[in-house]
Amino acid sequence: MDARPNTLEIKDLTVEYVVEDEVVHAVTGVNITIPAGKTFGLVGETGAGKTTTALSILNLVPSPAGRIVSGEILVEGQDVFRMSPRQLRAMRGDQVAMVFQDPMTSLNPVKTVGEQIAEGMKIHRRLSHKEALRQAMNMLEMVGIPGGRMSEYPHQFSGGMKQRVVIAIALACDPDLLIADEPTTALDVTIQAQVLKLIRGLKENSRMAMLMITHDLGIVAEVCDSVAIMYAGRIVECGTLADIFDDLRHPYTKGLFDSLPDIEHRRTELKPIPGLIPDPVDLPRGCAFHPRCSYAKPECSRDLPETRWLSDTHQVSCHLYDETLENKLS
Amino acid sequence: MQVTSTARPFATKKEFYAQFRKKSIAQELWLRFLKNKTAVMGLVIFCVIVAVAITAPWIADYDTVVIKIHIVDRLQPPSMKHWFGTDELGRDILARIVHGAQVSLLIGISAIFVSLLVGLVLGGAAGYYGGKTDSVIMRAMDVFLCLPDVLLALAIVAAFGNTKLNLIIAIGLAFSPKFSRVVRAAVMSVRDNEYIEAARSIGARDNRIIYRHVLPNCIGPIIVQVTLYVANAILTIAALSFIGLGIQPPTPEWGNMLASGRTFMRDFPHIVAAPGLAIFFTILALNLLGDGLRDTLDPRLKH
Repeated sequence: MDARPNTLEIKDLTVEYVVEDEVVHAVTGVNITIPAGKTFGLVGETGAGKTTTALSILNLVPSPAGRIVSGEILVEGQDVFRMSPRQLRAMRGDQVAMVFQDPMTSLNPVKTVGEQIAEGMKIHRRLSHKEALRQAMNMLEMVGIPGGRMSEYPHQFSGGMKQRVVIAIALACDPDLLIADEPTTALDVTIQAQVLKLIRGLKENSRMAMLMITHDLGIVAEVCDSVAIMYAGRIVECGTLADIFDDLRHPYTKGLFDSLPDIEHRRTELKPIPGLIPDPVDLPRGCAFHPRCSYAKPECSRDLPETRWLSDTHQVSCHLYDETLENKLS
Repeated sequence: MQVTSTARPFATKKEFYAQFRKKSIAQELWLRFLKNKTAVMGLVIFCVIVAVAITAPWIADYDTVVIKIHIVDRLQPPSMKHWFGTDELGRDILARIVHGAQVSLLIGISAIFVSLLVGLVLGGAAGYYGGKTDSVIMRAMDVFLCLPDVLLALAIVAAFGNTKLNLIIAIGLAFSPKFSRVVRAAVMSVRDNEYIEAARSIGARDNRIIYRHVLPNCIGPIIVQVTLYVANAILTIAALSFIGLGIQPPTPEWGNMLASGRTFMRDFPHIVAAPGLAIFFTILALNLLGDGLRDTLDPRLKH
């Protein structure tokens, strides 16, 4: 249809944090491609490297501790690691916008919500203060908050409304890519539903691509087109929604699904994945998941599994698929 | 749910929502401040002093009363005609105190304004960027911090002459290292907040982040320091004038009134009591106010 480059291409991204002579392997060899208008879910436990991946896209990995070791991130075909500070500022907020995890702390307590929504438009669209505020009011109404409340301060809003404000700030400049870093984690369930509905509505009404970071597979099922499962800084399985939900291959993915409650069989016990996520300073040799994996074979603790393509869309990194591509989990 | 329509004019809409509005931050803080009786007293005393300083020209004429010598009326004790008595040259002490307030407050507040500007720029940059910038700026400030502020101000005044402007700059510079420290500490406590990262993520440049996002959040500790240091600055002017390097007679200033009155102190104590009390009450008021503001703005007391 159109020859536009993919909105986001992350190629072989590796990020480390150096903390007091210890090297934390936050993200290792991650590849993600998001075409325009698609929503991509990045799923993993706390500390799997999801947020670091997101911050890398804006080139906001905290330095000097954080270090981009290798890889490139193309936003609309342009490498963010080669941008000048001026180009970076022009990209942030305008092409790529981010919704932070906790709306309680991601709004400035001493500025009115209207001013905060207007700020991005003043920076990127060079609008006058008045005009920016007028558009901020429209943005506020778009996310379902009465425009008259734009002269109020964040502490006068409830949690769900604050997250709507954060979303309005992110959408103010009509970005090509929206990064949502666990946008519902800090909210309670009913508010989660409202925010998800809002995000789904946005998705239907725009050509914006979205990177949805979450640890909640339910959210993925609701809003995402494709999914990547991340474990200890690596993507272990990646595919379309159908690939992952109907034909999951990696033992870790299976573990994630098994630890979800099943609404039809309420009496069955949940099966949590045994053990804890490994210390990213001292990752196990071979496949990082092998100490917790019930399918582990001797080679799992020796060699890193290769990434294998099961179909055009579905890839997995696991020694179970060294010889055959048949599903070994069922 | 509330009804919204974009056709509605903004002003009435605002009125419409005003009824749902909770108390603003400022209102809440003001109410909390009012509960602190000593702080309110400080504020009242300070306001009275400021009001007196502003209305000084109407209370007593400068040329005919404040600096004109009436040698026949010299060294009179307090009376109905001269509430605080007269000094060794027969001038009404009350009139001189009132005009002295103008000088002290003007120089004190302007000097702190100068040091606040320097502190915001240097402390803001040091706190926000950290690392080498921080080390260079703060080590330079430490060097100045080693000198007592009166000594530093004295050196500047001695070198450049004691005009009012020079005094303001001298005292302002003498207090800047302290402000830089305060601002730096406040900035460092704010800069790692998620909303600062959020500001960066929408493409704001560093200057914008420091002055629009970080510093407005540091206003609490800075206001407290301003009130406390205005008191200090007034004391410093008085000290400089007392040793003859500040405001020169016949211009009335509390410090030089003390200095010229000290020869007559044994027989006519009212001469030094009046400027002494003026200094005392101003400093007391500002300290009470500063402490009260500190209690009011302390984040730990917020619910």
